[in-house]
Amino acid sequence: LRRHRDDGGARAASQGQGVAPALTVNLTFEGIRITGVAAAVPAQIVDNLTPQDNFTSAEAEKFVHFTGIRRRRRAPAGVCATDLCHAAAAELLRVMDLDVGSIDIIISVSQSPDYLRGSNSLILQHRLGLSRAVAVDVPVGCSGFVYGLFTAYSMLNHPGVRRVLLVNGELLTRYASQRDKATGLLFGDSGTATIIERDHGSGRSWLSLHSDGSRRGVIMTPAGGLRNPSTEATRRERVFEDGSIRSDEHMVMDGAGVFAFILSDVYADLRQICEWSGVRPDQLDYLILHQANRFALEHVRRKLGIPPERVPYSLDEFGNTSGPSIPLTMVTRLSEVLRHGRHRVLCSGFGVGLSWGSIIQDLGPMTVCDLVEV
Amino acid sequence: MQESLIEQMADVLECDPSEITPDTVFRDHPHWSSLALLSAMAMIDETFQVLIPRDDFDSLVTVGDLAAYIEAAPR
Repeated sequence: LRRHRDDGGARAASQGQGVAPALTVNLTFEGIRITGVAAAVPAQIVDNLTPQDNFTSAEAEKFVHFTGIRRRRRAPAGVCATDLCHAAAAELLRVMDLDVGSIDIIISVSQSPDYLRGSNSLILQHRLGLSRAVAVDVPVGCSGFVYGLFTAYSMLNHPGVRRVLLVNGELLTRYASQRDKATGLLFGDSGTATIIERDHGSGRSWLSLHSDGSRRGVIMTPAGGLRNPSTEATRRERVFEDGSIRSDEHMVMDGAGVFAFILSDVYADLRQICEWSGVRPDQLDYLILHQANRFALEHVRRKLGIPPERVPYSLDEFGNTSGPSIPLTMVTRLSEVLRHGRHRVLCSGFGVGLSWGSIIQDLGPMTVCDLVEV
Repeated sequence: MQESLIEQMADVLECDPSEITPDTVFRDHPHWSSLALLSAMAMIDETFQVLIPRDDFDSLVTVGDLAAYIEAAPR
């Protein structure tokens, strides 16, 4: 066996583009819709403008101004992503008054596992009492909600599957160094739950997916897995040129690489799905973007010509929560809207991988639970 | 175009446009930072409809280099 040499996609990442254009997978679905959503966050609030280790007040102010992220939620030690997902899912099942036996499949989307072996979906299947449900894991990050919907909708295309519970939980405050200039003030923790089911009265959904592993170095955790196992050296924190302090087991993010990705690939995907579906940007009631950072998202919004009132943000209060950020935004910013009437909504998730995708669907009327604090 | 770029770069670098010339090495400016890089990329994309890839940006040194790149870029 030869040892595989992996540069972590560093070369492609530095070029800011993949070696070849990423393939687009376009899919349509009929008669499947989201009927309920819930979100849970830790009660502990971190205010980015209170003194933070390794950030001057001027740096923190600039960061808040640029990203729009003033406050974040951080889970205390001992709380895992499945705890937040459990709180959200239990509330959703209660409010929707659903029999646990009616859930055919539970899909857990997460890159924050409770255990290295023993998956989040099975832990939640047991804790929620979903003894009839098949448990499936999808380890995708910031694009996770769209990939989770893709998995759920695909399964619901089979006649034997009627109702799916999608849970999406991440604790990125655990994976990022709080003293890293790019990621230390960026992330918040959250867990969400979404019910998707067959409903012949619902219309068509359009879904696009993209993956480009050549750019995996743009966002990654270099060590701690089996390729580069955890050692004393990989755990040792070092000071980097920009003043960041982190170890090789912390997440590293090339901010400019992510920014170029959003402005080029994500924007192109949004244009492409609008053209393909025949839904013009001005016909969208809402555009819900993964809550990456406000500066980049506002740039995309302006380029698409969508007015600000149709593009909600939750990152000001909750930070970048990775995959859960789209359902968290539904719960905290659009609850009244989604409870009443039917709205044409474009959701777009994008990030680590690199992986990105969008879905245009009609949302509402649906159950939207009040935010759960754990 | 160069005049407009100089005005916008002064905005990015939070300084008076008179401080910026085509020979200004923008990375040497005291207000240059990783956030200024992102602001410059966004400003050039929005104003001139040119998205400069990260690697290309790294090879540009002066404001004049930026202007020449934008002029030569296909729209």
